[in-house]
Amino acid sequence: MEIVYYFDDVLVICPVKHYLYSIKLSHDRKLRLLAEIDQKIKFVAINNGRPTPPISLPLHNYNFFEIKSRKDKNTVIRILYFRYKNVIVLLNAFEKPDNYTTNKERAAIEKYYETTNDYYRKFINNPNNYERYQ
Amino acid sequence: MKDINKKISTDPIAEARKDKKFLAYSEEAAARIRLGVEIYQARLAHNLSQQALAAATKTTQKMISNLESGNVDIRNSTLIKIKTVLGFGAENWARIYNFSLPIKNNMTRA
Repeated sequence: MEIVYYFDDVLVICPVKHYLYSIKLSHDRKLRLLAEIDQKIKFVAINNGRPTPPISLPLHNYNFFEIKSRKDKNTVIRILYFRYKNVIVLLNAFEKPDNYTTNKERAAIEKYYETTNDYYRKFINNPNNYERYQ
Repeated sequence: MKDINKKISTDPIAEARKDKKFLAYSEEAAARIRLGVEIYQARLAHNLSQQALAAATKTTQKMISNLESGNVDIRNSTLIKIKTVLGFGAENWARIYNFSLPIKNNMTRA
């Protein structure tokens, strides 16, 4: 399957690509993390983009799936994607702490999913908004 | 589909791929992913929760979750306990280690 990054024409960025660039880790740790994320994305691709637990999981109330990778002891990176025809579209990525308790934190995380849902709808309306995953 | 966005900078994963360590790290990640999937499927086949497997192997549920997600390297002693509880056989190890190369996606261009 082909893999692409969703491109947002208002923000003028690919949110996943932008996130991957912005990860703050030492060179070696970032290299390891990117290798792991790349392998997980490819694992999903060879399984035709279907959610394949435990590597990718479906989400309640949304039409996209998530791939999880641990950034550090307390933080997991979530990469949200969906399958469009024969293409895996990487929609958004964000960091989620293992333990969060406040309503503010909960709302911030929920907002990521809602934003991703907007990206999903925008891509469906304009499937040319993408960049190739190389 | 046509790639219409030419002005965006290079793919960070494509950049990382140029580093000579990337292939080795990809191989390690691929082995962790395959091991995680194997543990997950064997655990379900044994009708065990992550909590139950953690108790049986004297580790934590969080560790089992991380192992299944391919996020962490497993200690040999933990692996021995897990394979005993889940009854790993030759076919399990074959699926994990007979494919030591990184996972490749046969990308097709539309």
